[in-house]
Amino acid sequence: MANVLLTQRCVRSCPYCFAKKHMDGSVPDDIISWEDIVYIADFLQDSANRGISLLGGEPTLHPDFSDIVLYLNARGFHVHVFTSGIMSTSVFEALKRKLSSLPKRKLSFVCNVNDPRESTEKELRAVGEFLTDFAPQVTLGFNMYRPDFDMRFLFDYINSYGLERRIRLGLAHPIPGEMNRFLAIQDLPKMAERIVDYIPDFARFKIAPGFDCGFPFCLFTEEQVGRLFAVMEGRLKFGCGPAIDISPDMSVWCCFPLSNVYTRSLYEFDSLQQLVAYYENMGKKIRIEAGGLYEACDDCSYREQGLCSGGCLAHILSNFRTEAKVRPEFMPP
Amino acid sequence: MKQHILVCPFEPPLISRLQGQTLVVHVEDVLLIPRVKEQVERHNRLHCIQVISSHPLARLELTPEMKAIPIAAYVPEVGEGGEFYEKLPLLRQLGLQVYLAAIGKTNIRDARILSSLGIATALVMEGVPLDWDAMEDLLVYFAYGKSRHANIEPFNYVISNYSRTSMVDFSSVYFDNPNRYLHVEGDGRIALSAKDAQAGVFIGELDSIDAIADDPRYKERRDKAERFFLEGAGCAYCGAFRVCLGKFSAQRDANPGCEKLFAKLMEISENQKIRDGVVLWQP
Repeated sequence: MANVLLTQRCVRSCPYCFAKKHMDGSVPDDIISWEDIVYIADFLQDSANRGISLLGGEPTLHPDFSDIVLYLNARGFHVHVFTSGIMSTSVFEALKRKLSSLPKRKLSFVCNVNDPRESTEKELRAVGEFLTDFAPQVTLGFNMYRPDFDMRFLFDYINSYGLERRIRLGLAHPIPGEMNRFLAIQDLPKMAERIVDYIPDFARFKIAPGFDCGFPFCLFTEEQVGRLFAVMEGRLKFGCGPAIDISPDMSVWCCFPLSNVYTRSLYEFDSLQQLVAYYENMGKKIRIEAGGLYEACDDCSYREQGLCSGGCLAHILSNFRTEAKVRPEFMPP
Repeated sequence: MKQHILVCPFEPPLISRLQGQTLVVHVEDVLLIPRVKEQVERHNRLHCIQVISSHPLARLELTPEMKAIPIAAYVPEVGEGGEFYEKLPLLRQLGLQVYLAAIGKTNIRDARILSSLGIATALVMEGVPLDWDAMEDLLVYFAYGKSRHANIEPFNYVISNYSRTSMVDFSSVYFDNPNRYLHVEGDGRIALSAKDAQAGVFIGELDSIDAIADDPRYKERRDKAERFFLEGAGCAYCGAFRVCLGKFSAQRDANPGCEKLFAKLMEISENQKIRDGVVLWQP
């Protein structure tokens, strides 16, 4: 599934933001055009792909957000929206009027929330209104950017608003060459311990967490992996593959943290398969140089069996920065 | 005698007078469509119903009973998204072509959206300023777009009817080519175009329709394009004249760009002929 950035503007300024570089450099009218939306829909349809994710910034800031969702639905796409849930009253009203009747098979949301202690009252109210009205279609997303995170508020949200009983757990990754906050490699075991601490809560509330990309297998013992497997309803993965982000100017990259390094244009590719293959090949080349986050990754049996990809490519690439510039094609700027 | 398709208003006495003719009937009220069909098909052949509405497409009260009727809907705009997408499943089932004025980027953009959703569209290239660049972009989408999409006129007409040895007049898309269409008023007077009818310029009566092809004014209009060569006017030197026939000569100096669009259209038409094997490619 491709991610389309409708706009690079955002309503929040999260310290871990993977897209920060793009937000900072964006101009107010930096929104995707309808012509490009039609092109992308054609491109994906031609690639036999029937799912599309809309991202930002905050995608609902695009003045035609609801119409874009309706258009993509009419073209036969399932639309998956990544939002903060924070939007102005007029945008929210338009969303309710136009989209609230759409079934989950046509439209679903991942609402990325931060710890309420880091949000303003106004933001919390807006998120609350969004979750109330779109509850059955919403899965919560939570990005971990420090090891001492607290997830209890997520259980409260899910139970009180009646949301999807899933949580999408993301790791804040470094952006090579940028200064965003992320979980350092040495902090990953602490983060893993914290997740394991929450396993009883996941089981008690019947909420299935799901890992986003870049989690290394070896952060957990095999016993812990077994317990996670159970609460995750079997959807446990330790991968890191191209996510394919398409920006409003039709640039593409394989994921936000690597957007500094391997940006191309969508027009250079004939299909999504070709695009994915290009970035998979790029990833393979890097992983030949360094198997994963740790030295041990090179000989790791989990990696050899394809159970783990060795952690986030952005972490690996950031390590290259301290080395001699003998592989300029992999060097971040 | 040349058998023209007659374009007329929905006036039952007139339609009765036109027995045996093929008709384009124009109405403003969409709800009249089933009645027009029923009335016309008693003694005539229905070519199409032309709806000229001041309402946006999304507000037209089209119904499922209009499914088998060819409709050319002239609307000022597509309208509000929520209403439009609610109506889209029905629109896709109709024999509908939507006519939008090619002024401003919104309608040109919407023509692309409609086409990509499977709704045939036509741009009405009248008025100023016409955005030639946006239209060229739309043409490229129509000709080379990756996925299947509905026709966009007049591009489709020119590409389909293109010939190396003759001119193509895409006025037929708008029922305004006197070679094919004549406009009849309620009282039976005949005009060569909708504009002429509006301006009160008539060239005859229904009773004399068989002799209309001999009328010098008819011949003059039919051969209008040749005047560019007799007068040595600017459009006569344009490489794309064969597919535009000097239709935009009045605004050519103030708003150039038509040549680029129509040259591109010719190039695409030529390529299409080569692809179809109609024209031999020679190195």
